[in-house]
This record gives sequence, C-alpha cells and structure tokens, in this order.
Amino acid sequence: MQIQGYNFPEGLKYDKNHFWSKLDGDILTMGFNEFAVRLAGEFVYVDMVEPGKKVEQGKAFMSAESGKWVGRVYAPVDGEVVEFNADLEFEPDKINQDPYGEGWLVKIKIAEAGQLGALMDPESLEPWFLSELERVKGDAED
Amino acid sequence: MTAWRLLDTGVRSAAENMALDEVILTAKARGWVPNTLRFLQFNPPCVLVGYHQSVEQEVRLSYCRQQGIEVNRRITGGGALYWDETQLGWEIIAEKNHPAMPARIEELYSKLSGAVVSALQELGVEARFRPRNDIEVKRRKISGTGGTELEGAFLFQGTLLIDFEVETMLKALRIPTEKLKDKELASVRERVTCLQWELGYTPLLETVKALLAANFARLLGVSFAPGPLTRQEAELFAAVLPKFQSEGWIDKVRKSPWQRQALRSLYKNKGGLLRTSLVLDSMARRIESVYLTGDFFVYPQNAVFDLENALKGSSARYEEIVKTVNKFFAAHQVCIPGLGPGDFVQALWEAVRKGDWVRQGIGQEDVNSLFTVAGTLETMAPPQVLLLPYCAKKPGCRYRYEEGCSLCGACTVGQAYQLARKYDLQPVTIQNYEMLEDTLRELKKGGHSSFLGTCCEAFYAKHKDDFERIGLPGILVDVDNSTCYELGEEAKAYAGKFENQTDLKLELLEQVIKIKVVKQKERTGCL
Repeated sequence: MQIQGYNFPEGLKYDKNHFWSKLDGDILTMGFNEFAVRLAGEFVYVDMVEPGKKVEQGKAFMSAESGKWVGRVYAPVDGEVVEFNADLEFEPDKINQDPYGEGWLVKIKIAEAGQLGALMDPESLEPWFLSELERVKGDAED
Repeated sequence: MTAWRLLDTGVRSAAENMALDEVILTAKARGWVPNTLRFLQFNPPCVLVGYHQSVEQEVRLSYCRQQGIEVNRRITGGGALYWDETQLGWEIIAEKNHPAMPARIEELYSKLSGAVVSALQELGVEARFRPRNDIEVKRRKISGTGGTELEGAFLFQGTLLIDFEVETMLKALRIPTEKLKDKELASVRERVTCLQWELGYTPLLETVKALLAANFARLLGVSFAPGPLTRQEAELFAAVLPKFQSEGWIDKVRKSPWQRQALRSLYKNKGGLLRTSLVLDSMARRIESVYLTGDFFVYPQNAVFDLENALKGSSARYEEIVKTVNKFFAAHQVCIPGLGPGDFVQALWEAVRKGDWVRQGIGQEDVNSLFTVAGTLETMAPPQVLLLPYCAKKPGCRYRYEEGCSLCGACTVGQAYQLARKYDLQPVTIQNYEMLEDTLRELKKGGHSSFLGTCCEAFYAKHKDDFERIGLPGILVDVDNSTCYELGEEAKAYAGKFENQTDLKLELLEQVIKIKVVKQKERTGCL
C-alpha cells in the first residue's frame, strides 16, 4: 500500500517507531520502514547484534549510523535476537536499497505474543502516519 | 517563550564528557530535564573516535600515550577528532518532536548549524553551512557536527575550532597523509581553519559562548536560563562514568586490520600532477576520507575540497566513483585546466585498486611503496630484467658513475644483484635519466614485455608520463632514504651526479619477484 508516496507492503506489520515486522510463527523479522530510511539518509554502519541478546518492546537494542548520526533500533516486542543480517556489516546500504527485503535487520523470538496487538497493518497505520507526515512536512518548511 | 537550560560543564576529561553525553540524553529521554544547550571543553587533550569506529585503526596510540592524550569513544557518529582546550564543544539535547526540530536528519543538521553560522558571522567570520554536516569559512572547515538519539530525545553536537594545533592532530590521528612533512601540514592547514586564523586574534571564550547561545535562542524561539546538572543527572553520571573509563567501551569496536587501508596514487597528465591519498574501508568498499593534492590549478580556489567532501563516505566501486565525480562536476562550476572528471576517476581508482594488491601477496604496509607504469600489477607479464638506480651505490664506489657492481656487499645494490641472479633476472644499474630511457626502449625493441625496477617516489612522479610514453609496462619499488628531490638536487640526480646514498627495499623487491616471476612461472609450468 502506498501512503503519500511511501511504500508499506501488505502482509507486514508496522509500529510508531517506523519499523516493519514480519511474523512467522514465534519468529519476528524486522527492519526500518521506507519513511525511516528516507529520513535517515544513506546508512554507513550497522551494529552487529549477537544472537541471544534480550530485547524489550519500545527499547533501543542496536544502532545504525547514517551521515554522522547514530540512530537507534527499537524492539517491536519483548524477546530474544536469534539472527542478525550479517550482510549489513559490509553492505549497510542494503537498508536504503531494499528496506523490506535484503535490508532486514534482525529476527527476534517473540516472548510476549500479546504485544503483537500493538502492531498495525498498513490500513490502520495510515491515519497516524499521515499526521506524522504532516509534522515532518511542517518542519521542512521552516 | 519556553526556558531552556544553559549548561556549561566546563573543562573535563574525555570519559567525563562522553559519560555526560549519555547522561543528559538519557535524562531528556526520561523527561527529567528541560531541553538543554551545553558547552563543553576537554583537558587533558584527547582523541575521540566515532561510535562505530575502531580505535586502533583511527588513532596513533603510542603517540597518544607518550603525550598524555586520552582516547575515548563518542556516542555520536562520524570520524575521529582531536580535541584540546582550544576547541569549544556545543550540544543541543532536546525532544525529537519539538516544533522547531526537523525530523529529517539532513535538515536538522542544516537548521541547527545555522545558529553557529550566524554566531560566527557576528564575530566577523564568513561562515556557511556545508552539507551534510560541516561549517566552513571559504571552503575550510571550522566546525563539524554529529548526533544521536534515544527514544523521544536527541543529542546534536558540534566542535568549534577557536585555535588549532595541526601538527599534534596529524600525529595523534591516522590521517591519510604520507609522512609528517611540511607539505602535508600545509595541505591540512588549507582544509581547516579556526577563529584565531580568521580573526587574527583569539576571541574570548565567553564572547563565543554568549554569541552561540543568543543565536540558538533566536533560531529556536526560546530563552536560556543557566542551570547546573540535576541531582538525578549527577547520580546517573556517577553510575555510568566507570563504563566510559573502561577498555570495554573505548575498544568496543574492533575491526580486522585489513579493513582500513590507507592508499595512495599519483596521476599525471598535461594538467599537472594529482596525488590521491585515501582511506578505504575494504570490506564495505567505501572511501572513508580522501585528500587530493598536487600542482594543478583550480578555480574557484579550494573547490577540490568540495570534491573531497563529496567523496567522503561514498562507494569505492568503479562505476560509483564515476557517478560521484561526474555528479560533482555537473553540479559545480569548477575549472581545472587539463584535468577533467575522467582524470580524477582514474586517480582515485588507481589508489583504490592498490587495496587489492594485498590479495596478490603484497604486505599492507608495502602497497604504497609500489608503483606501476603502462600496465597493471595483475596483468603484467613476468619481468626478465631488474633496473637499479645508481644512487643506491656508495658515493665513493668505483661503480657509482658507471654501470655494473662488484658485489662487495657495502651497499644494497650488490644484494639486489644476487637477488636478480637467484631468480634469473638480468640486473642493470641505471646511471642517469637518458640511460633509463635508452634501456627501456632497447628492452621493448628486444621483445621484453615488462620490467622490474626501483626508484624513489619523487622520480616516479616526475617521470611517470615519460614511462607511459615509452610504453614498456613496469613495476617500480620505492627506495629508502631518498632525499635528492626534497633537497632540490634533482638536476644533479638527473645527470647521475647526486651524492646521497639511497637504500633498496630488498625484502619488498624479493616479494614482488616471487609474486610476478616465480608464481607466474609456476602457473605456466615454465619453472
């Protein structure tokens, strides 16, 4: 689904920190959504995250650097990292080129399935996202 | 008007200042403190690497230890910086969704840097923002910025050079300059500036701080009230300081020594000589930083610094270098007689490609001591001749001014002769430039398809176009202790009458012979 020129593929879930999640049983794959990628600019470094790392919903657990800015990655749910996209160590710009595909960040084993309810599909994301877009546009016109 | 806190944390150690960054950002994210403008300074002097950088790759640790320069890691991105008391740090720590703050990072950089630009202009300095994150005065950098975020808060920080100690910075950081020669100090001085150099005097720190605060207040539509660290911040500071003093934090990022390569190339055409010194992230195939120097003419002056800036962080893949360079020339009105985009691409590519020589078996520290002419190392046929410079012979030797060697063992030429014989190469000592040209032409005429030689980098730079014109592909190994060009004795050297004695790099010479002669013959079954 396109919202104001930003692609939000169907079948994925989204959160208000601008990440996408894909669910497969008790494993959640996540990455930056296209909006976050465009705000950040080209990624040059991504932290490697060791499997086994515990993550907490809404809390930062890894970093990604674009243009001297260290951005944070926030977990969509509580859980444990089971896999990190090792390609990003040498090709962090995959996040820019293919945020919903080869630019995925980590896979998390979900600890609290009840938290998944907070994630949104593109349709339910749209009203909030439009207000977010309004805020950003307003800033850009300053 | 909302009151923001004006927090001056004074002069502190690197670990304390880095810990305070984390503390204030966390305090802001938790809603404990008002939005803040912080001023900071460092003593002892220190080197701060960016959050994702590796200390050992960016810092000359032994020099820093010897000089009492501290080393630490920032929580923000970007490159390694040298700080001493002559620099002022400024930071904005605020909520991300503050109405005055752009969400797009590039816009945030540009907007907040605007306050520093206008403060500098009020001081009488012609400052302007240089995308993406620097402030410059007549194309020379005076301030760099970076940032990070935590939940709903962000920290945006910058340096401001009040005065600047170039030599110490060059010694403390692994900047891609060749050696610490006057020329390199001058080339760094051309690229940076400080208030002292611009104004001719050192402005009072209090004046600079007051101007920065006034301009941030105007830009953001806020007022500032001086305030200290809160009790909660002070407690958190005490709790996190040990982390920022620990090796675990300072050495948090380690990278393979292969990953960061300092590479150099020389490119010459009718427009002049173009020297490229760059740092390559060989894994990510990215140019981390680059210096382009030489004797070419550029208008507007210093425009080449904009090209360096455009290349910083760009892809080192050939087609991407082409794109970056072409885009730069298309967007800028730059006049460099005799050198076009294609020449810059070739110069950059020659340096980048040297990174691959490590895979051929050349040591990391040796790649810049090898030059090629009229061909590439990878494709060159096995040479059958070894050309040696007369200047490596002892000044009193009877062979100093005539071809040949008695193998007496008093200089490295005799050892090179033995090497040549061991690997079935014909050694020839070159007595002057004319003899070199004649020898190369004869070799070419006689069916040789390559040569191996040794000469100093200055000789190679001076005669690169002559080698290319003659057209016999060759590999040249640098020499040690070469000073004739630096001493301005090149006319004597040309005629074969220079008195200094150079030393041949015998180990590297043998390594090249093994790679180009032995291995290649093994592959073709000729040995």
